[in-house]
Amino acid sequence: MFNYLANPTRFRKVASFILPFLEVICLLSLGYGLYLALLVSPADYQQGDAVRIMYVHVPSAWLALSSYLLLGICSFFFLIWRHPLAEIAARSIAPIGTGFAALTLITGSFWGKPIWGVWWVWDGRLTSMLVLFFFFIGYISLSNAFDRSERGARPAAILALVGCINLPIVKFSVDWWHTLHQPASIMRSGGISIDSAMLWPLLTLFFSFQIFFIIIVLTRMLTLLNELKYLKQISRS
Amino acid sequence: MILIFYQYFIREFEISISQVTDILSQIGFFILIMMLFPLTLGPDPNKLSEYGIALVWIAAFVSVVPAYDRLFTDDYLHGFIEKAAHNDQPLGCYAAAKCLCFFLVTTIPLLIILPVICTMIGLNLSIFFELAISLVLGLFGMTLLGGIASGLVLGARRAAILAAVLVLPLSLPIIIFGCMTGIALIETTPIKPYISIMIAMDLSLIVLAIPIMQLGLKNAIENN
Repeated sequence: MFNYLANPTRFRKVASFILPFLEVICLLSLGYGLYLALLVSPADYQQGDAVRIMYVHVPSAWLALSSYLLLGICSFFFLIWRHPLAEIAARSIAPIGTGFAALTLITGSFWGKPIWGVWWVWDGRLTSMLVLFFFFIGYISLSNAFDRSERGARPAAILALVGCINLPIVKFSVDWWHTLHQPASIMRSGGISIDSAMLWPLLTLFFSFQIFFIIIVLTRMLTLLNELKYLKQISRS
Repeated sequence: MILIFYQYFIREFEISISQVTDILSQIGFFILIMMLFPLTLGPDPNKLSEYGIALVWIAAFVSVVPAYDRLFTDDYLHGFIEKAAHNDQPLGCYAAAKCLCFFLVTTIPLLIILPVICTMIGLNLSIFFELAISLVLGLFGMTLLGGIASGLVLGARRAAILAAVLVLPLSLPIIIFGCMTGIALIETTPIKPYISIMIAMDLSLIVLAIPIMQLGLKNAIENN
């Protein structure tokens, strides 16, 4: 399966074949999930309708984290087997992960303002998400920092791997730092154990976000492949 | 191996000693950053001594970060790294010697000036020894991280700001545990657990950072 798809021409064929199906699935599940989340699911007894921000906030936070993990895996494959597709995948994932991290921070502060009364607190979770955002920024700026764009690929891949090692350490150290300073946090008021009426829309939306992520990554990869092919043709003629 | 390391180290050390103005300007930068805090927070001695340890940590970190992009750049531009690689000398050894020398050259002057700074912002000198130990451990790990970043940004545009952007998120665990040591010092709770964690981080960084630096340097000269 892996070796089969590793060929760029074959990858392009398979990707452009499955993209329309994925788009249909994404639209359907997104519509259904939004219907469940905005209309069917009950408002929270404490938070009111503000709880509906969760249906965007939590899936994008999960996606931001998992896209960094995916970035690390792709960089690993690129460094060890020097596979060009892995590098293209990593380069396609990075801006999308940045976008989801930013979306998490923004929706989080929109959620925080009515519930906690502040836009931002220096809580462990918020801080580590901000750090994740800066890891993405560092990756993107390093991979674009060289005059020849392919020169930045390997340093950026090394950086992504270092970030993968460091990220859990940052997460835990930030958590410990927070518990040392302010033991009882307002974060707890958001940590409701979730009811199935809210869990279903959340999972549906998570699924559709996931499919959406795959669609954008595949589209970006196809675009980058076409760009590379085009550049090759230019340099040949 | 140890002999090669020693020779590299002596070479680096002589070069850094000959550029004594660089060291002095770095210390000047540190003092200037410390001078900014009373001007921005207000000259209230109680407030300054409350935040003192955190301020010292921030100033120490910020004053070394701009130097990181220079760590390998000169040798890279002069072709020294390429020559070492061509002669089949271990680049990791070179990088380790360079980092150790950089660490000594930046940290020892900082430690000399530190008691003066501590008195100026009203920190009690009885905690100076522990503060110095935690700062040394922190700057050691920081130098290794800076070496990684510096190896990665070789040949990049605007390498200085890029190295800073790469180093600061990576250095968060070090600065968090370093400042926890400081808080424990002020609250007179045991600091040994934090010191142990910092030593553990430094030791694992030695193991991880040297191969990564080697990889970065090799990549920089191969794709030149």
